[in-house]
Amino acid sequence: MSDLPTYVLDRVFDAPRELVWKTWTDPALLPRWYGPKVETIVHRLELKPGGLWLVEMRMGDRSMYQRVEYTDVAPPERLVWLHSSSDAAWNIIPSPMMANWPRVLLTTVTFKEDNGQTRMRLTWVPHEASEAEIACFAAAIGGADKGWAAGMELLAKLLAELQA
Amino acid sequence: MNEIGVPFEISQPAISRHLKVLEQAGLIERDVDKQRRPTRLKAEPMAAAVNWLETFKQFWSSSFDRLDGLLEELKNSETKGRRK
Repeated sequence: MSDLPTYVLDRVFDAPRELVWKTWTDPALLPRWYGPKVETIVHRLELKPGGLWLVEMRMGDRSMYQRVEYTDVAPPERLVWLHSSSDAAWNIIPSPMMANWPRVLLTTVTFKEDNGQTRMRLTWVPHEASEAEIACFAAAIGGADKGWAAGMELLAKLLAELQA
Repeated sequence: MNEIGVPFEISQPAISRHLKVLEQAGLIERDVDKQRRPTRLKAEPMAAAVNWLETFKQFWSSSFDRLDGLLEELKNSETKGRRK
């Protein structure tokens, strides 16, 4: 892949791959697990490249919105999408929590069957991001990334030494 | 800035560019002091970025805990369905 900072999350689910796939793509099943401690409302789910998955997460009288655009849909092994925060009209906005957080994260989810279990890997890479967004993401993932972030850490240490 | 370059096997312009990016991201602070550019790490934005990733991760892993439960339930109902 590229030299962009990449974050990887692995998880094993004790269920066959077809079933795991269904829970990730069925609009009736998604709200039952996606988004803890919030009311998750799926406004739209078009499972095809270029299709949108629009999600509202309601916390009391406050809502947060996520706009997902699928770029690759390969059942039951791979889902790829562009992940963003959005306003109520589904326009992409910067993260409400972190100004320099990448506005769009390329999210890749792969499912591998392994003796009746499913090995899932979720990766996030900044998509068409500014250098400031990439730096923010690289700083956040820190030691998790071997290439980019290792250089950042080295630099951080050195800067700390120079000030000592 | 020359001091920063010494331990790294990269060129001065490359370091300069790297520092510029870090500065744009608000992760470091630089002063202009005639020839020298004293550089400081800004711990707060760095910590905020790390915390935010933690929140993002937490969102997914808590969701996955719920998904474990849902998958269990779906597996059970499928087995029952087959027995009928």
